Amino acid sequence: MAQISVADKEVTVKIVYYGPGMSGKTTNLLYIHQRIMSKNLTDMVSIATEGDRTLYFDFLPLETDIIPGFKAKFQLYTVPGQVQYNATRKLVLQGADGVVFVADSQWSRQKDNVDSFTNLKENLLEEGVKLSDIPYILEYNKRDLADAARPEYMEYLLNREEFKVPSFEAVATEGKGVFEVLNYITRMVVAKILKDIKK
Amino acid sequence: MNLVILESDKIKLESVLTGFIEESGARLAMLVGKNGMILSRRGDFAGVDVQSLAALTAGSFASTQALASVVGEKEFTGVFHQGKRINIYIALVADFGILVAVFDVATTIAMIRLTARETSKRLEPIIADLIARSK
Repeated sequence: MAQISVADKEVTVKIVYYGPGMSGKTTNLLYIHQRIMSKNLTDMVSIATEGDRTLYFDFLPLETDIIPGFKAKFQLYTVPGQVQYNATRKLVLQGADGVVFVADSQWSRQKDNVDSFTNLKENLLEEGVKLSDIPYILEYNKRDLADAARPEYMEYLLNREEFKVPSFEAVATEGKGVFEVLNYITRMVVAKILKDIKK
Repeated sequence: MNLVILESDKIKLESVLTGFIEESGARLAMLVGKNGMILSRRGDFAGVDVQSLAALTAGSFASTQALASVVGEKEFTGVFHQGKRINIYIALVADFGILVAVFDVATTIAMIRLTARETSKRLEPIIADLIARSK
């Protein structure tokens, strides 16, 4: 649920990076945080355990002037990917305006990708939202690893909803694909908000 | 559904929050949605990262609600974080979100809790109007 403040000329949207444990969701946000040059950029909030695994969420707020006349505030969140943290995943997913599904390209993780994608759909449905109703894209991360599955196979596994969505290959540790993904999802979310306003 | 805040909403919300600060003695107050977005804020925010404060308090309160269901309670209407100098009180505002109050030794938790309860009630119809109009 985006928030549009006509009074303050501000639009605030929430984008959630979803995916199985260790697929690189936090790494995406860390790279964005390191590379964005903004006087308004605040610290990234991470609630992580000792092993650097996300326990609750990571949070990174960004501001842009993507919408003429309005300040756009993007709030980027990650969810904890590990299976046992579904309760917290649901909480973070509340009110998401867009989702980036970060899949792990390694062969051994394909089942985890599919399970997490199914979990995303189920958690949204519990909130009364169909995945097809919100903008989402797929990021095939860790393309640099030797045992990465072919992108066509990952498309077959994950991009098989009623409507195909854009997918991107990425190596988040090196920043490859990270900003392409961010640019695309933000444009999709803004386009949907503008479309909703015109209705 | 997008939530649209007009100038008139902003004035009403800020007026209620200003009233809360004056009555309770809190340093700052903010109204935050379940999704962690700030609808309105008043008070002294110098040196406070407001967006992180909103995201973390929304997350903290959401966990608390999950805790309530674990122990068989419908909901917890308030949460108190106690510090040496600074404290935070979070109060539920209908189904919509939370009222966050940051306060110090200038006031007491009893005063904050009492005023927050009344303030939540004052905020509810304003938010209900806002949501109804946004649909």
